[in-house]
Amino acid sequence: MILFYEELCNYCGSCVAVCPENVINLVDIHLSIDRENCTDCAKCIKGCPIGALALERKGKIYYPEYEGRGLF
Amino acid sequence: MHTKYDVVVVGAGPAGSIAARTAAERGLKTLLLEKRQEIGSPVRCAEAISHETLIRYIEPEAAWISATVHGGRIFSPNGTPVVIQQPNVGYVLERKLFDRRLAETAVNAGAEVLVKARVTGVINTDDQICGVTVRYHRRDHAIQADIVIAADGVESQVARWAGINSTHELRDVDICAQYLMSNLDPDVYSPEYCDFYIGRELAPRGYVWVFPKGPDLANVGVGIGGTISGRNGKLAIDYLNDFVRTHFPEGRVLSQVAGCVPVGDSLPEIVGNGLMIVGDAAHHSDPISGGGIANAMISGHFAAETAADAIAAGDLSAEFLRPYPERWDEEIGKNFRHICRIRDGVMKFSDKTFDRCAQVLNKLSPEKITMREIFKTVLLHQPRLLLELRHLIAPGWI
Ligand SMILES: Cc1cc2nc3c(=O)[nH]c(=O)nc-3n(C[C@H](O)[C@H](O)[C@H](O)COP(=O)(O)OP(=O)(O)OC[C@H]3O[C@@H](n4cnc5c(N)ncnc54)[C@H](O)[C@@H]3O)c2cc1C
Ligand code: SF4
Ligand code: SF4
Repeated sequence: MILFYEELCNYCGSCVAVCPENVINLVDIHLSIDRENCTDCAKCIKGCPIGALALERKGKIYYPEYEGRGLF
Repeated sequence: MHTKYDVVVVGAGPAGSIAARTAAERGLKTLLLEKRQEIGSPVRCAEAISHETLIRYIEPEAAWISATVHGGRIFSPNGTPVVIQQPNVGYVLERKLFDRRLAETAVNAGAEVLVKARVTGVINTDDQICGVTVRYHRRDHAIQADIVIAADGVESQVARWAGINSTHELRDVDICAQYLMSNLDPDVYSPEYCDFYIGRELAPRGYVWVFPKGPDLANVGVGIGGTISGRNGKLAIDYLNDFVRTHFPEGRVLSQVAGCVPVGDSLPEIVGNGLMIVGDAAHHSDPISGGGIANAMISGHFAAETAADAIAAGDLSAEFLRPYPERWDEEIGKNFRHICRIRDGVMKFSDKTFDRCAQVLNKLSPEKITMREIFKTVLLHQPRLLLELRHLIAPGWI
């Protein structure tokens, strides 16, 4: 599941631009992810310049800054 | 707000404002819709533009120019600068004010502008786009239009709603982070030049920029290749922090900007029945520099002219709107593919190769160092790329 750290977000829309399923909804300073239709492809995590998105898989959080090569 | 317009433009960035202005100048009833409450804010840009392209659309005004640029310095990975002297070559803008001014010129030309008006969908009747739905003042409105121009930027939804896949592939974007900084080391920072730093360590498949905003104020940013982002646990912001630590340890961060820029080919489909896509929404920024302000204005202008012709002729089909993509391709787009390939080739260079190029160039006298000379030197280190270059020399790109 994609996790969203709101306090880090710049609302820049970069994740929206690269999401192949178009399931990220950005309105002003509100970002939401339609998790039903998200495929956990993690492209948005790479698309985010500042690490406001992470992936949780099997109870483990993959967040580039902490996990090093874990995810990518 | 009326319920029927000739042209509805979605997004009041440079692409949308110039499209709306051009449409209004052609006598069309034009509506420009912007979801933000303040046009141009927040800024997602390093704000540099060349004088030559700017004056195609607006005369420079002190109110929205932060600094005049007199050339560029490219720092090779070992820190060797290559200085290109170009007096008054361009500007670093105050985009917030610039974007607002452009929208004002659209209003002056007769266009109607609404802010805090978020487009939520397109009206699609029998495969013809004939308007949009808008959320405005807590109510939903349906607005009919002969032509909808999608100028909704890099995260464009309008094209997707109309069935055109405008998603950006990670390999075709640069992921960017930027600080507005002061307290800059005067030995490193020059308010005269746009500085570019290249190198695998600093910015893999991208570059670091330091663009002057004032005597002690600059946009310091980094863009890295989308596929590289996150590798080794490093994101754009980490590269930026590394650069700041080594180059401006005393610098103060005044604001932070994030974003992505399209650096691939243009979107293959930029018109549909009753629909035209312009600017970043059409992936129109320059594949090497990521600069998109000028191209956004150009595509907005071209699209609106074609829209006016189509409306005058009473034919709103994608087929009839083709002069827009053709003109775009002819003037700018057709070179993108070659530029992409040159870029990909150059990006494979080792840091040593870049250092050697810088050394060779610095043996020339300063006035001999031009963009053309730099290209030549770089390409002599990779003759295969000369084949691509052939296509670019003829149209006068370099
Ligand atoms: C970090 C960074 C640095 C950059 N540096 C430079 C540079 O130095 N020089 C340069 O030339 N380019 C630069 N660029 C690129 C440049 O910012 C863009 O190419 C340019 O802004 C594109 O203009 P546009 O009009 O197409 O889109 P935008 O300027 O993004 O405008 C799109 C507008 O549409 C609005 N919108 C979106 N959706 C809706 C909706 N549903 N309803 C209503 N309105 C909507 C948005 O709010 C926005 O105002 C940079 C980009 C980034 C991210
Ligand atoms: S994981 Fe993939 S599908 Fe889900 S939001 Fe991110 S980019 Fe979109
Ligand atoms: S890319 Fe990151 S910072 Fe930008 S809107 Fe998405 S989550 Fe926020």
